[in-house]
Amino acid sequence: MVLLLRAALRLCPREFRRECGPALVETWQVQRARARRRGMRDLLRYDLRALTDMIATATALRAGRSLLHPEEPAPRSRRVPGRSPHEPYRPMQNLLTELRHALRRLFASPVFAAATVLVLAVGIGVNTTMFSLVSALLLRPQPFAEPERLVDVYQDSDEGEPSSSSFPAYRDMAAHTDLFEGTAAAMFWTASLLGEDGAVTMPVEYVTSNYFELLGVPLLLGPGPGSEADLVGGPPVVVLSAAAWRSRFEGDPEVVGRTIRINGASVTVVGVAAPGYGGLMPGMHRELFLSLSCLGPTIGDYAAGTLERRDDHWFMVKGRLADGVEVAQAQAAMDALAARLAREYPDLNDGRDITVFGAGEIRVHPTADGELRGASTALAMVAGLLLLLVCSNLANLMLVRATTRGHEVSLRLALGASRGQIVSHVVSESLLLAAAGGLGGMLLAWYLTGLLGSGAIPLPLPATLDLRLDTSVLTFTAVLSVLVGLAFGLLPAWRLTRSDAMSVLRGEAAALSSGRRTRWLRNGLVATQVAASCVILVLATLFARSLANAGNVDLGFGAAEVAVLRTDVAHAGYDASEAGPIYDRLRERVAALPGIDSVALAGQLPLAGGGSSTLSIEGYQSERGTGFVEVDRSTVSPGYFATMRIPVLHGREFDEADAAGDNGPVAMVSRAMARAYWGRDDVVGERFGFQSSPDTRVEVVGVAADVKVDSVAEEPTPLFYLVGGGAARYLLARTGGPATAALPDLRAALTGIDATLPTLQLTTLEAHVQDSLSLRRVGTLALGGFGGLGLLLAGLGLYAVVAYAVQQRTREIGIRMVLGASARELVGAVVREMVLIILVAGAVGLAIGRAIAPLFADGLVGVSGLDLTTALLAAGMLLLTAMLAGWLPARRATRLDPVEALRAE
Amino acid sequence: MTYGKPNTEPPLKPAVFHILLALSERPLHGLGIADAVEAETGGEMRLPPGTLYRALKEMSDEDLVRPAGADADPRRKVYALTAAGGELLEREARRLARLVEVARSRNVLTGRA
Repeated sequence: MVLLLRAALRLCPREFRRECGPALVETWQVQRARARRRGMRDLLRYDLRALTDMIATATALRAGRSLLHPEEPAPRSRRVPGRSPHEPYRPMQNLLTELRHALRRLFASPVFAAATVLVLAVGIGVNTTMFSLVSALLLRPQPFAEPERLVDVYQDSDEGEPSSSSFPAYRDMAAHTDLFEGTAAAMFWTASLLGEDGAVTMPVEYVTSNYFELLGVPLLLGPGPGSEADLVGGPPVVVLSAAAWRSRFEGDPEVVGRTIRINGASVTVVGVAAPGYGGLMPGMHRELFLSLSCLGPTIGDYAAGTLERRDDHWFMVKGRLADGVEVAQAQAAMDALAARLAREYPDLNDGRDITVFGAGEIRVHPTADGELRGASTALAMVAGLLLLLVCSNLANLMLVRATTRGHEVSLRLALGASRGQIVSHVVSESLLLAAAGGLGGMLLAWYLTGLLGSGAIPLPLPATLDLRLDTSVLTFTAVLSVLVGLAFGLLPAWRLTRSDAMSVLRGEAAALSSGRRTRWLRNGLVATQVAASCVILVLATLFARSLANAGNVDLGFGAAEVAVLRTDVAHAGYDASEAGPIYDRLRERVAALPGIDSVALAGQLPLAGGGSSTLSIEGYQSERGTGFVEVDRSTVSPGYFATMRIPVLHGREFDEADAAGDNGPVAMVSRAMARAYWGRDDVVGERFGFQSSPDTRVEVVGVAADVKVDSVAEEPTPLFYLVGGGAARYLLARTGGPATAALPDLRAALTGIDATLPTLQLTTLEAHVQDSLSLRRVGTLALGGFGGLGLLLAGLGLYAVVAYAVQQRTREIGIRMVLGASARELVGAVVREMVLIILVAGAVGLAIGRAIAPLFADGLVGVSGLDLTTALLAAGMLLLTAMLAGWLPARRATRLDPVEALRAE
Repeated sequence: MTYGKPNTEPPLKPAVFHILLALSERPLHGLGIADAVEAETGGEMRLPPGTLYRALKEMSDEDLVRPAGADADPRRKVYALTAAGGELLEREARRLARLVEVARSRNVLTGRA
């Protein structure tokens, strides 16, 4: 933005710049900083306004229009030549003629036009997609009624950050009816909906019955949930999002009253939310809004119990301030509440604050907002760099193109055309190109946002992205296209009209092209390209290396030759107590299949996250001093470690006696857990307990090697294993040969037990590992694509500049050759200049890359920021391209025949 | 058609009027003027830097405002109203006041704050 404003300032007459420039920039900086403090929206609005105003000011100053004498013709303005004073001035007609001419000129060089439009479309399309993402996550307002009175109330997490609240704490907050006109709570979860084509898993919210009323989101259909839906044992009811209603129920107008199957439970539809509403989290889309009475039937009794547990923090709380109540008042009351809870439940709530955030202070979540802003900024920066590259390249092309028209332009200037007219010729061309590119970019963005929104590109979020090409995004694209058009059109036009008309007419094309200022301009453009592509290359290299590392990371288990089937007996109407025998039978059946070496069951797969439990470990005190720690949990059957090839380091693996419960409660732990909580590896015989059932002591019977629990990028993570499982489990079968061959048999074994048992997932463990890498792969591909494109553009730019410089100096080269200089020396001079540019710009690019690489560090495996290898790789690619781009035209020059050279021009 | 420097006459462009009005209280630098204008209009009129400095330059060229030293920050030039500027402001204000009187006499202003 600083650059843009300075560029706009450059458009103003020198006198104005000298007199007012510094003060203007300072004022702008101060006003901008204030706008930023008011929020992203205000900042954007301010920037746009300041910039358009600056451009308008520059135009007015150049045209000599006065603020003080609006009607007076400005003394410096010239009459438009060729129009008699009696003829009325029709600016629109002029514009149309101008555009028609520009169109004709572009059609005369279709390759140039097509290439330009394509490059522009990519640049603008990528930026539009990025903006739609930023807009969805950070800018687009939520469709709440009187949003300024809505506040977010958060209890602290164990780490002391505002997080989410327990349901009893929500009740305490809601009791403050003097502060809040109303309060509602919502819990984010996923659930599977049974449709005609099987079960689909989707992001959902469990909400209090007054949720829609409190937010002021109207219902399209139905009465909504009654207050009895807040009670455990109440009727399970659901409100559909409008999108889910349309896509999953064909927009059935009779949908209210229908019973649908969610996680195997029957739930009655009581409403459809207003179109466009997709839950509390902006930019995401949740399809179902389930009542609290659904917690038990759809998740389990344990989940229903959360309504009474103060140690679960599962709920987001929204409050609507009563008339005249300020956020500070609400905060004071919540401070008092937090103090009271700390007194009443010291082991749970001591030091746990309650924070009230006013309207608009929080976008997604207090702890996530910063990260989201960071990630969005990083992505937007890369996209912006690409656009910068595109612009500087096109500016260069336009410059070359305009220079070849030097004669025509000089003739026109000599015949009395104004500089403005010539400028408008070039600019109308560039604007036309930019408009076509903008349209192309919009199409590309439409495709890309569709791809992102449909989940074709997996995202690490428990929700579907809700991207829209709405007015703000389309405005962004339009403004961007115009700015881009101006950016790459104005510069060459300016330069072109500055040249001395007479020398051009005398045939000295060099007067146009090799003036110091032009050279400076062109070299600057090339340097920008080299630096920008260097930054993108650095990032692309980092991601490519990280992906390569991720593929080689020791996952801790053997992924090859394992077939995976996931099912959920609850979908077939069984309850949890019947699950064990069914899974035992499934295990037996599959083990009996030919070609199966071993079989096991697991509630969670590595690399897919899963559940966790709050434990009390004998002899260990947590930092908070509560004695409790939260540890990731996996439930498995005997044979799991053998089937997964996870080495058992100490003790033994679970056996059938463990599964039958003959040995009492037993567990296995990962080495990371042993080290974290007992400080040594061999912890066989140690014990721990659960916060939820304090009387049970679990004995550790074995220590297993570490596996990657959530992602390949993680450090060794504490994890414990229990024997058993719930209604939904994975069946893992190690095969002697390719795992895919066994998949149909697995499915047949399942349906052989009960034809209604659903196959929720049928895949191989290798494919599952690959899936977990897919986001990385997409990121690497995108950045690699950007990097390649950037390199190509920078190479083309360099080629054009060197080729042009050589061509322009052909005559000089010829003369010097006749005088005895070797062609090599002469070309050397041109190439040296280029090399210098590349070195300087490359160094700048590396420095910028080094500065922004840490923004991406979270997603990187085995590389941290810019190291020597990455720098060398990126610089090497850049140099190679540059050498090729410079060498081709230089070689042509050394083969010049001096006689031919002298005849040139 | 007259050449040379004509005298500026009302009606003035809003930006020019508001700048004169802001300076009528005390000399101010550019940013101070923008702040004063925003405050005096209850946030309705916000002067972006381009328009602000263009207007200040033209007004100083026409002797409606004059430089009056610098702030602690050397970039911040302080402007003060000249006699001509003050007179122009007064004429514009009278013109506006007359219009408001007319509006008042026709009961346009009743019913609203």
